[in-house]
Amino acid sequence: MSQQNRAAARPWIGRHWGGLRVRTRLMIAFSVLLGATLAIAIVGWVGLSNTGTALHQFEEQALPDISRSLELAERTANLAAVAPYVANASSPFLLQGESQNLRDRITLVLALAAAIPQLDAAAPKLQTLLRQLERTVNDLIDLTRERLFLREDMRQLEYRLGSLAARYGDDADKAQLVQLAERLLLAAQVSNPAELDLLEQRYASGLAALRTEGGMQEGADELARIGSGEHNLFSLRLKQLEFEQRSAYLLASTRAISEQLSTEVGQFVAHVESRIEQQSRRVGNAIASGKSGILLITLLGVAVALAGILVVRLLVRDLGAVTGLMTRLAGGDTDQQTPAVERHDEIGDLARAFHVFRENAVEITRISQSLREQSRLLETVFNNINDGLSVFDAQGRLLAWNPGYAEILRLPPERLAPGVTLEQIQEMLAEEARDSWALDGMALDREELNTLRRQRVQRFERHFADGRIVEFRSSPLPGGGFVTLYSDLTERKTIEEQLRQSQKMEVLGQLTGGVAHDFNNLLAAIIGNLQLLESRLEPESRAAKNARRALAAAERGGGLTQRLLAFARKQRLQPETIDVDRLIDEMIDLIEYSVGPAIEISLDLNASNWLVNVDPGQLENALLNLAINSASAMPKGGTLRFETDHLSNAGLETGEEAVLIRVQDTGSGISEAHLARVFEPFFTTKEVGQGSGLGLSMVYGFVKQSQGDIRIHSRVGEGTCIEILLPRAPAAATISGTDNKDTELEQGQGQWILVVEDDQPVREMAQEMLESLGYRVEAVGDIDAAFSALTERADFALVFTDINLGTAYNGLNLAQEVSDMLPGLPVLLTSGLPAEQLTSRYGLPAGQYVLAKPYRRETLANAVAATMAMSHPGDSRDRADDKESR
Amino acid sequence: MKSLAVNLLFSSLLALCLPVAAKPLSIGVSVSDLGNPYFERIARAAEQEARLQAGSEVQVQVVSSAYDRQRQTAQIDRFIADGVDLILLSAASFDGLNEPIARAHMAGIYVIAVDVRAQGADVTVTTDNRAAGALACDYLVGKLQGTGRVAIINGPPVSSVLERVNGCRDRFAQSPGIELLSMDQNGGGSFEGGFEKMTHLLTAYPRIDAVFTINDPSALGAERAANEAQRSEFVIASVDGAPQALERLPQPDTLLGATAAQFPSRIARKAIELGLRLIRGETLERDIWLIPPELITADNVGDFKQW
Repeated sequence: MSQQNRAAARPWIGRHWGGLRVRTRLMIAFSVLLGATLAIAIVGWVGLSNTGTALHQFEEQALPDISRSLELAERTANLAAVAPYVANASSPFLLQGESQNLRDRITLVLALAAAIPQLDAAAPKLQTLLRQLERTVNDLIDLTRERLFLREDMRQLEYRLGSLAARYGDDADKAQLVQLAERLLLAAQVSNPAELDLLEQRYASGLAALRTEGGMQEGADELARIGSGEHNLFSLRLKQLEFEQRSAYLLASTRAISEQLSTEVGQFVAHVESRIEQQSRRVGNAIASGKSGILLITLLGVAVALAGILVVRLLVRDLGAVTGLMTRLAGGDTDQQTPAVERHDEIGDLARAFHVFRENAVEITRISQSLREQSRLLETVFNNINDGLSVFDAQGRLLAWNPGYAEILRLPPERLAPGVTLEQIQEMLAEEARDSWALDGMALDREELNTLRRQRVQRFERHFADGRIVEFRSSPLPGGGFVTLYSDLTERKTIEEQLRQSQKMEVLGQLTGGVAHDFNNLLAAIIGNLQLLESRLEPESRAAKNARRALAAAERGGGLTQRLLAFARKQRLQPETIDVDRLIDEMIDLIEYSVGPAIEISLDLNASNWLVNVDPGQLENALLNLAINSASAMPKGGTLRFETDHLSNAGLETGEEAVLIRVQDTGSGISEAHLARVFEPFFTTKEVGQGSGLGLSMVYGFVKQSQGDIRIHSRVGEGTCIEILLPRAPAAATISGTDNKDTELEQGQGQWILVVEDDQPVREMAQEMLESLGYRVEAVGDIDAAFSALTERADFALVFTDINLGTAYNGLNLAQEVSDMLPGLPVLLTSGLPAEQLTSRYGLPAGQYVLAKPYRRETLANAVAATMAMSHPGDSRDRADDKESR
Repeated sequence: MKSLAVNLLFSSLLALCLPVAAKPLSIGVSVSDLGNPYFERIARAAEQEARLQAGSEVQVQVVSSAYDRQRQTAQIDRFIADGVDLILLSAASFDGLNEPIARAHMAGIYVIAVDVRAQGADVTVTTDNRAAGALACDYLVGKLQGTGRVAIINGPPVSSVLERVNGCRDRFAQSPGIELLSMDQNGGGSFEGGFEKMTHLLTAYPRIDAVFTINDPSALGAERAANEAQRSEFVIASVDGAPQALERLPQPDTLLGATAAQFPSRIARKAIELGLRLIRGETLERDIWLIPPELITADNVGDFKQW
């Protein structure tokens, strides 16, 4: 349970510590440090105070104790040393000094002893001993004084004996007396009581003898007073000896007491020492505990400081990271991670603020980048658009303009500067360009226009001497002033002209297509009937000749219709493998129409048998364009020459072999400066309105699209030669085009052919022509009849149907139905419309063969035979038999 | 008691009125120390002079006080009881004997202070102690030729000693080259004291050029100490002219250079003379009689007679 609590407590602390503000954390760290410091200071203070108190106690008690005990020891030792001086004092005066000295010392020692309170406990006998010593010393002093006095008394006696000897020494009769006196003087020096006693007995006997002799009464009395009276010499001497013994005893006693005192004092000193030792140990313990306390708290403080340093380092690291990132951010580096966002303190706030800053910076950078790009784009556009652009302020002063402005308006760029007024600029313009024209061609008042330009959108034109037309589109600006776009309308006007032209051509083409259908049907009926007619006439009869002439005329009409259709049809590359010589040969009459009668056309075609894969219509168009160009270069007539040839070293990408078409005129030629630009679109040397300028560029585009090449040689006054190289295509079988009148017609063997044709004359002509070719024909006029026929009769070998049947259900639908219902029954399509119109109008599949109306009998024969042959590779009869047997 | 006092007064009057009385003259002498030959000399000279001037039947009692005031007081009272006519007092204390002296005066006894002054004494006879100190130290200064380190071994604080030391110091002070090392070592005026205090000085000062001692016993003790310490770099001068000193002076290994001799005989004779004049009723010219000292060196010791 407690473990769980602890485990729960740790994250709690971590979480709350991590969540604390930096300030709070630092405050906590500093508080702990402050606390530790205070604790150290308190412990140190208390320790020092304790030490100081201990030292003070030491000074108060121990030191005086030491000094007193030492002094006591010294003094007590001295006492014993001084005592002999007292005992041996030679004179009363000296004795007084020494005894006073000794007494002073004892007093001092007593005072010392009294001043040491612990003395009684430590040295209980000391006081007693001191008292005893004092008594002993006093006894000694008294004794010594007595001794000295005794000595003086003895000296007085000796003086008297000396006087006696001096008085009687010269007298021989008194020799006995003097001898006795001298004996007494000797007795004064004796130190043995027994000898003294002997001397006294002798003296007594000598004195008695002296008295008995008489005559020396006075002297004998004196001797008697000295030797045997009160305080006689012998008693004095005996007393002296006693005193000496007593003195020796007292001295020894003093020494003994002294020694005991020394012992006692020694004990006391030892006691003091041990006490001091205890005290010093106590102080040492206190200091040691204080030191360990300080050490402990210091370690705590150091630990806290280290932890604080760690925290601060972490903080500073994170802070440094954030500031580093901010510095880098300030330096423009926005591509960096945001650090320490998960922190919940000030640094976390900083990091989050940094995050916001970075987002903003990134946004600002992105916006400014985008602004720069937009501005660059705008500037590029501004500077590079073909149109001119100018901005004027509300006072009509020029604010900004682009190079096109000066160029289009033919203004001198060096005179344009910000602040130039509208009026000044208008004066710079050419005279004829100062007038403004509305789009509908009305002249406009300049002043009124300048006012209006500031108010609403204005569009107007100005015309320049060189024919250029510049359109002004002026819009007012929100802050006053206006912006104007200047467009050179010259080219646009030209293109608009061309567009109108091509629209006319489009209409013409559609018209032609519509007409051609009906026209072809007419021609088909005419030509077919003429052929049928011709075949029934005598070949050499006049009627046959007339018929043939009519037929030729009808066929020419058919050819013309084809040309018109080809020209009018849309310019779309539909490559076909064609014979260039034949193409030129067939279109030569069209060229003749185009160039007019003043131009002589000569042909030199040598490229037969080499085929090329191009859109024949395009090629015709190109050649026609070249012819028209040449014709315009020869207004007064000349020769236009078409040449073709094989070329084996063409150097084209597709190979070396090519067909060369050369168109040469004898016109004015093209200058060298223009020669390089002739293939550019809209480049023209013609007067405005005379040519589209599209001709050569279209030719160039067609040739390049056909993987060929085009070259131009020209010299002014010598004419122009244009060479077109088209890559040779490999020879391929074709069913189109080639009919040989001389060959035998493919004859039918009585196969049934279903003819579907809504135009009755054509239907009847086709039925008759097919029957003349040996086929059996059932001709119907609409689709329902066709289905009925197909249902009734199962042995049709071919369905020959017009595409346009005048109903929504056309020939192609029929062909599809046939293909579904009766697989293997071939369908031959025919139409008076050109192929591309069939495609666009009826969805004719590409490559689907269509017999073009009007057709000749031979063409029809070939087409029918070929169609049946393609679907019946074997004998057509077999198939018919199969069907019949079925 | 009353009769005794009347008797005393009467006998005094008799003594005044009758200079030559039938009763023999009695003199009490109390000296400080009979162990000192000087005092013995005073005693004997006084006795001789008294016999010489007042007849051989003069009674002279000689006692010694051992410098003890009480003992001396007792001695004076004894003299008074014995009915002496004159007391020669070598006082143990200058002002400690006023009462016994007053009692002596009451008993008609004249008190002559000898050797040292005593308050209340009728007249004082002493050596010119100041001159003696100056004389001895003048000798030392001469020996040192005015430059050197000197010490004084002092004595008991009695007038004679104080005067000698003052005389000596005054002489030293006259010579700027003299450095006084010590003057408070009290040798007590005895041989032992001199020995002890000189030992102190020798220990304290590695080099001493001259020593003045207040008397000959001190000087001899000091010389002995120097011998024991095997120190002989200095010369000693003292005051007294004691026989032992005179013996020592001419000897070749002596450190004792000179002693300003006192003349105890002259002092004693002068004291007896003045005492007798007082007894005769004469009035003395002055209270203090100074006996001039003489300097004795090895050169003139032969000419010097005993005290």
